[in-house]
Amino acid sequence: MIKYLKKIREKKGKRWFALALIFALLPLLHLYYPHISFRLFDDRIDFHLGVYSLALLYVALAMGLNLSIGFIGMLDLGFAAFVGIGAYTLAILTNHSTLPFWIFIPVAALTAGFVRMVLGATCLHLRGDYLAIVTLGFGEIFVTLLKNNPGGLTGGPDGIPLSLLRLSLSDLTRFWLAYFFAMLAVWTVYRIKFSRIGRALESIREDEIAAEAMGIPVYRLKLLAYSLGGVIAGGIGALLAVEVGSAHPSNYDFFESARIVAMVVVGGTGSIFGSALGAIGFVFLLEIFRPLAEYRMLIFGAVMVLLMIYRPKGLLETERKRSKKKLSKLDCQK
Amino acid sequence: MLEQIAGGLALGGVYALIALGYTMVYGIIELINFAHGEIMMLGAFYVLAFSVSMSPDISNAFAIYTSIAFYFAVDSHLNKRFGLYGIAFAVILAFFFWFSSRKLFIAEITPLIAIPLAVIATAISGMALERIAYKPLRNSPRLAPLISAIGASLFYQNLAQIIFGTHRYSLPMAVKISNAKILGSNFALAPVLIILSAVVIMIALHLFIAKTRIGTAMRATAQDKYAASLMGINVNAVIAMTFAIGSALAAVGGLLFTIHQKTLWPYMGFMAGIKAFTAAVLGGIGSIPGAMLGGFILGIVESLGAGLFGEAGYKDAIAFVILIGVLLFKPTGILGKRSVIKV
Amino acid sequence: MTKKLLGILFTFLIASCGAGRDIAGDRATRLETSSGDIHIGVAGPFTGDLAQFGQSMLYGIELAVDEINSAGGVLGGRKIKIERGDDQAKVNEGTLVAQRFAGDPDIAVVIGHFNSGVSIPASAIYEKSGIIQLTPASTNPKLTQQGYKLIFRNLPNDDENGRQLADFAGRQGYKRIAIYFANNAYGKGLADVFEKRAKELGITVVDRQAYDTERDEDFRPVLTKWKGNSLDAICIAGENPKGAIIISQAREIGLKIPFMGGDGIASSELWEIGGAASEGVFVTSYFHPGDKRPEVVKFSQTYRLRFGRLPDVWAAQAYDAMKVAATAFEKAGTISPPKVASALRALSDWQGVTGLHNFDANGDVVGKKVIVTVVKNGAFKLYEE
Repeated sequence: MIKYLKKIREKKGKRWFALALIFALLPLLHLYYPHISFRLFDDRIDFHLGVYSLALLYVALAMGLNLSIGFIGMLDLGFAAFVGIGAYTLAILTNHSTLPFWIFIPVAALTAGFVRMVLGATCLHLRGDYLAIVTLGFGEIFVTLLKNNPGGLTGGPDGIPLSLLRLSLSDLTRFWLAYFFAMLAVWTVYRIKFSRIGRALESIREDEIAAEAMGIPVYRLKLLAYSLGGVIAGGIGALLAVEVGSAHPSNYDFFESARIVAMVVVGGTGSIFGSALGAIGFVFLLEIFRPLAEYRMLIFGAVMVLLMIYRPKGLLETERKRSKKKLSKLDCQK
Repeated sequence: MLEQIAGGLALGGVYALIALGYTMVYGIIELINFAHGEIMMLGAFYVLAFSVSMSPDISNAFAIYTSIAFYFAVDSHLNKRFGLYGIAFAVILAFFFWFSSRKLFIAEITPLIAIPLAVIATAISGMALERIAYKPLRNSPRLAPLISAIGASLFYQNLAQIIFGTHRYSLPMAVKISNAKILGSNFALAPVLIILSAVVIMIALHLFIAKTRIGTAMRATAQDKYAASLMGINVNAVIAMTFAIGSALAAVGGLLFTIHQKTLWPYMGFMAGIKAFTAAVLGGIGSIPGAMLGGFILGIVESLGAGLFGEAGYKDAIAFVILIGVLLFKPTGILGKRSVIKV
Repeated sequence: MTKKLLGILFTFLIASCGAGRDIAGDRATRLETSSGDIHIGVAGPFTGDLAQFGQSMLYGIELAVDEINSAGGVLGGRKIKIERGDDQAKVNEGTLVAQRFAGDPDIAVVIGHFNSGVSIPASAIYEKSGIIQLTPASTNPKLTQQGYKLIFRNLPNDDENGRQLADFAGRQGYKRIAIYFANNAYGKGLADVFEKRAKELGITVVDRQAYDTERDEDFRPVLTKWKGNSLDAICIAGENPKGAIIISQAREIGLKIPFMGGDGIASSELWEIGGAASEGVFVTSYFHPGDKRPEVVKFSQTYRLRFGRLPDVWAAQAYDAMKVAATAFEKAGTISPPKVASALRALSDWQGVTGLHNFDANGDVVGKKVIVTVVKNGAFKLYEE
């Protein structure tokens, strides 16, 4: 398994193409086998288009979070709140207008991006874990607001059902929407990583003071990467709400944030392909574990611990981080 | 108003006790131990299991868990693996522990013995957690132990649900205490008891860290692990000790939380843990008086926020708004020291 | 090469978009002629903070299934087999569970979900894929007002419960009432209807406060505030265990006025948690285990023997849901969902442990009596019918 991972680590562009192709072929599979199901412990495991779309959407979310965790090294424990902002923007706007819903996806993306920019502008000067805690607090405040239904907008604890909108789109349409937006997110993040900005961000992650000394506008670039994560979260959050059929407070709690962070870290912080694999792995694994019933989350938690122990840098660690290994050996000797 | 403040101080004392575990662990290995709330939950369940006779299935399962944790706790205290004989020894010890704890879980013990037993058992759990989930990751990227902590937290919640079932338990001892009154009949005993025990424990902890040799070793390890090990301090043992003390405090916190809430259940650790963590950060993470201060502030804010602002639903938000506000103006918390960044 | 591949991809895209089938119709024809075990989905929160409710539902259903199967099954010896779906009281999990059931061609009926917020999005999936959803617990009125044909619930909705509760308060002569409601679909719905009806009856609703079902553990601040309001009673629109904790904390701070609540607090946790504090609490319900009807006595006894505790209202509701579904199978002579649905609607006065079942065109149960029980010596006693 690990050998295989090493192999795909070496072939960069091709592995993306392979992944995109596999997912593009899934609808064909769906044509003949709408539900790939098998039984485990007398219970049914089922893979269908809904799971595939979910995996794609989480790939995109992992991309968005990777912008702050992997690119500028800022841990974010309230990412789900921005997913929620996107979802609620779409839900509220579609309920109050007759325009087709896809018009609101960019609106949702921009709203979430804007909110994240404001939060980033006030909090990005905080260091390391303190930023993580502020984002955690923001996430909790957001969920509390949703539940209290300010101004009758959020539907309170019921959330806003989008089941009608969900029904009006076929499974395939939703799948292709997810596919398109996931690829868009991947492409955007990829373009950033291998641009001048990407290299600047990387230097910020490695050493902020040195980067500043080199004339890199640290604060502005950090803010850019941070708010772009919000844009992705908002747009994908809107789609996720349609996929799930409801914008509901329980979808955006701390566990959801922790789950997305885990996807990124398990996949390999900073590695784009790694976090995509992490996201797909998480969604699929949770489906496979479903027949375990009450043992499901127990085993899932154990798997998370074991994965970290045996692959502490994630499934695919980033290349430039690997070269640091030699450095850290030197560190010990000094 | 006075009652609300008393209630807030009691809740704050509970938060402060749990926050101590967060702040000690963070101070020494810079890890947000997300599973700490679950350790607190285990502590409460240990008190329950020792003071109420459980059904054989439950006591067996819990005893087996305890002995496994015991094995890893023994392991965590040893710097080197001590070979096959050592493993055999640990297994025999664990078996002995299983046998005796199984006995303990069926017998009903008086609170005076049950509480210390529970505290020791929870400390063992904390050490085992450190040994399994954090020790292998000590030199990994910072996010790895965090994810492993979240995984461990999920694991413990569901383990407790599988062992103890889904419904809430009530602790007879806690019910008795929370219904008791002092000073005639108007003032409840529980808040006074909670505040007193929290303050006493925290002063004891402060003295322990300031005055004893182990405390000094802890502070040295917190400052520089590498230098501490050169000075002949067994860093692994000190870290294990930190987890043991933090977990022991969490067990007391769990008991006080149960007295305050009257019930205990497998998911009780999550929200209390997040709140306690918030308290630790509010006071300045890494600082022990800070954790106390943060806990009491949070407790009072929650208690008054619900009473004064009319809408009780927003009270969680108030606590976090204050947290963010404080961090914006004092980025390291109220009592936190500003760390100097070396260039 | 790339262009060719893209071309092929595009063809797939077009081809696969065209495929649309009548899933509901397929299922109906398949199940019409099926034989062998009957698969029933059971969905609810089996893990997480609300797991105890899911567990009660599951116990009730297991009991019903065992009774049915040991009596020879339905439709001439077909056994019932349940498939579990854990929604963790979360919408995203609930939707996945619903899709999984929708993908299983053998499933005819799903009993669940527990939470209204989860049931509503899931109901669209069930309706589309031709599965009957019969919820024993979701009381939000919206659920059955979506114009769906296959969605049922076997308990009165919040409108009915809230009205009955307010009427009871009127009969007791209460004039000043405060409402403490759970900040979820159930609590809020019940509180709204209660307040509306109370106003019609001339009862003053002095204050209403919400609590969070997951986070809030300390209710003393609000209760202390109410201590000075000279209230006649406090209405709890929420579920246990929080309801029980509220009551015990109220007694702890010396608040002595009566409490009343809906079916959400109708479980043994009232006295398991509150002890003596729960004495005299009024609870509306559809079921109390001390009922003298023979089927209730038998149900309570077997349940207690098997699970070591008395059944609560959710176990009874789920038990009845399973039994009423089995009855509908027999009446319809098939397990094809549309026919079973019409059989359910055609039922008249089917008697379960929770009372009479008749279903109207929406799928709501009609004429199920709401009873008022009072806690006395650690058990529910019938207060008035």
